[in-house]
Amino acid sequence: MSRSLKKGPYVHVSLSKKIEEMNRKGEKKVVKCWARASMIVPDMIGHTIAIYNGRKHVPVYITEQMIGHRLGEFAPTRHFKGHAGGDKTAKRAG
Amino acid sequence: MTDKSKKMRRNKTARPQAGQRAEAESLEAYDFPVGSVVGFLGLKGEVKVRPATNNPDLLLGVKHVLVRQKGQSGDCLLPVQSAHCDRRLLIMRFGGYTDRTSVEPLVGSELFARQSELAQLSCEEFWVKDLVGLRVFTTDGREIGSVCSIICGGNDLIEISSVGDPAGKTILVPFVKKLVPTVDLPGGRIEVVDLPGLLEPQ
Repeated sequence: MSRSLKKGPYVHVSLSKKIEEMNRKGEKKVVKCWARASMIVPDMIGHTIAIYNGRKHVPVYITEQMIGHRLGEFAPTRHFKGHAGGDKTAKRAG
Repeated sequence: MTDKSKKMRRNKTARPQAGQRAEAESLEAYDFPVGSVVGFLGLKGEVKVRPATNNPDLLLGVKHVLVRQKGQSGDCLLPVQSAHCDRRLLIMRFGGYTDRTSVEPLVGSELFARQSELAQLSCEEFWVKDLVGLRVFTTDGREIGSVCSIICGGNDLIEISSVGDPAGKTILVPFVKKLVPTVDLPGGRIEVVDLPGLLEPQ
């Protein structure tokens, strides 16, 4: 059974407060967050949230494409570094 | 020492001919790892290659590959007739290999290509090996450290080993234009926005 529409998306209360306050003041700073199940809402766009992955906080810059996903999806708890050798590419997101 | 043995010794120490040197040098240009052959596909001589890069589309334009077989010293150069991606694998067909039996010896071998034959990266894409080692500064000119690796995740992350941190802690910064406005490869530097809380070592 899916979550009731009446409640709206789940966002941890303290995270929601911090984001609202930063939006009100118009400031940007990294917010540490343990609530991996919180959903990404439009208020978070342009903020950097450091999401806990069980070991450390992984900073994630929130973009429009991430809306509706959970924060935890962007901070993997297991890390496969790939097979040895070869050259990888890195893309700078806009 | 007899004349015959002198001649043999001279032959052993003889320097390679100009043609051989040119050939060896041309093979040295094939230094970009394409991947390893992991099996064959169908009956028409196509092989499955596990690509060594995370972006196998760059390898589709390769004209020749150098095949280095495990346990054998001689490398051979093969023309690529066709190449396409299938999920995470690269499917390739080589000139002169028309059936499954002929490609069986290639399984397990490593393939290399010339970097000049690869497709061009887009303007916001970089080779990880080019980024590693760059010095990192804030936008106001303060040196933070140097790039030690790139971690793929939600955003690609730059891992920075910080200057003067004996604990060996690193700093993670999302590789996005808003936070990393300048990547100067010729100058060997990256500039990072000093957002409160971003440049704390973890």
